[in-house]
Amino acid sequence: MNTDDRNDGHRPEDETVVIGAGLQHVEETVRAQLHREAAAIRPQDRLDAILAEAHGAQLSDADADAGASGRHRWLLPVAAAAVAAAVASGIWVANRPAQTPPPAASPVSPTQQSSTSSPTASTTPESTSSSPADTGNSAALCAKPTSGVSLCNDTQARWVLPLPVYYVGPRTDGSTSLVLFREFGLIDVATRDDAADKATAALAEAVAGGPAGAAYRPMWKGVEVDKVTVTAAEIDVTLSTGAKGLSASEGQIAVDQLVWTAQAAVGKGNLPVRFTLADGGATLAGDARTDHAYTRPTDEMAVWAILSPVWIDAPSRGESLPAGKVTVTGIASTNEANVQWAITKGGTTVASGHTTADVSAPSRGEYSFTTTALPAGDYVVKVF
Amino acid sequence: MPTRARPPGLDDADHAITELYAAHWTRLVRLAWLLVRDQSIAEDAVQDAFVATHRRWESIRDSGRVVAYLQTAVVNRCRSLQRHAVVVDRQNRADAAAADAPGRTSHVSAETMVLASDERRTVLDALERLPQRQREVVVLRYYEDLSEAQIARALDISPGSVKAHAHRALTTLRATMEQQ
Repeated sequence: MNTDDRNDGHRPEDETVVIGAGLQHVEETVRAQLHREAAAIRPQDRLDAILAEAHGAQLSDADADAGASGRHRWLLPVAAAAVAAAVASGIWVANRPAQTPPPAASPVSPTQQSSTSSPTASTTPESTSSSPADTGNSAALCAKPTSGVSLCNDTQARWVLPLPVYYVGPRTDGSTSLVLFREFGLIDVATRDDAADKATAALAEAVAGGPAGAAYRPMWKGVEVDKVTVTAAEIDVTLSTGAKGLSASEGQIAVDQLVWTAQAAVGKGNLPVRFTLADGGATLAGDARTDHAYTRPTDEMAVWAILSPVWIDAPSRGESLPAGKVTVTGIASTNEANVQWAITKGGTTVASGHTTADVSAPSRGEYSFTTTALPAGDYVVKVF
Repeated sequence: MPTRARPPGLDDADHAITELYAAHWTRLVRLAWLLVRDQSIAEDAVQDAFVATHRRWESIRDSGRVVAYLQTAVVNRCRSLQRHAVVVDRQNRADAAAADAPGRTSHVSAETMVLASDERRTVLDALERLPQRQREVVVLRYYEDLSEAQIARALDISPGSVKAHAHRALTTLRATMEQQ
């Protein structure tokens, strides 16, 4: 069968787009770039999934038309919960400090555990565009959605970006040592390229204490992020007031939390962070004062003391992915680079294993593992 | 076509989809990727298009415009997935993680970041900032090599609009290139 009918539409009037001569070199560059960049994409095989889904849909056309029997993705995080309703079920992931002690055999005893959020996916059908006639239109497409989630760039709609945010939690369950956990949350920002906007949004998440259902320790109760200014030399953060009731060590990690979050969002390395309190106060948190700028340490041991020894970068909390094998990536700083993992569903471990990060503690290395194929459902990823 | 001789039904659609998949899966995923810049979402979009084609195989086959149908379904699906913000922008995540490596010194990392962002400021990044319609027209024109009339049909807009979108897009892209 000749499956390439792309030229079927050619009729005598089908001329190519005629562009002024002044743009011809642009056309050539664009054509070359598109082909070069696209050639780097190596699609995964999905033929079996297509046939399975097609037959599943044919068995129950009514369901398929309601969009309820589609593939299953990791559910999106809380920030996009309204949108995630399009997914009938998926795989949930979250990460937070452990509820159970880490393995005694690990001297470093890092633990990062995820917890199940209760799935709130409704059966709200996603309007599927199974028909090419459903071309939509720009106006409707770009209407600002109620959830504030939009990646449309034709309008003033806001952006939702995966931004790193640091949260404070115990190094291990029951530990009094507080460290920072990094999560990539999907965060609503006003513009996608403005460093100050990104930092403002990420800091707002940080002072809020952590995603719903997570076991992080809120350090900045009642504090709001008023303004962030980014210059070539520093990041200036204005908070409504200082953190209240923190000890010296708690104050230190609370300041670290905002410094690391701001620097991560700005993405220009260790730009010093200077704080101003809108209420005129000079006490930032604990013993920390606003009279000097703060930055991250660069020494490995100092970093090790501040950060959780293991965290999960992907998938994000609540993200939905296609059912099947799931690849989890993150950062670990563990003894001999060992990383243990487990996938649980309803409290039962359905897959587990161990891998190694590319370097061991006190350095921080990347790890990655892929699970066996998982059927659609809600899962929890634990890395420890 | 040989498939005409086969008995109608699931086997026929399976066979056709398998052939279409072999011929077009990779190219269509790349097309979708150019529109959404996320491989997983791109694969989702094209998978949806194939499933839709399978489910309506007999009428689509009879229309004789199978690949055009797939193409349009992919573009629409990309738009829909973006609208629903299922996109978790993995590139942004990777960039942010790279920029967030502990232990950098400020001077080196600031310079590194500027250099890296300059290198990435390619035509593709400029393309991503175009309004959706302009981006679709550019990708269909210069990646899929569709004619103005084919693009008009695929996007259900007038040929005049195709020309206007293409011209505006190229003008913007030229300005970006000249800035470099």
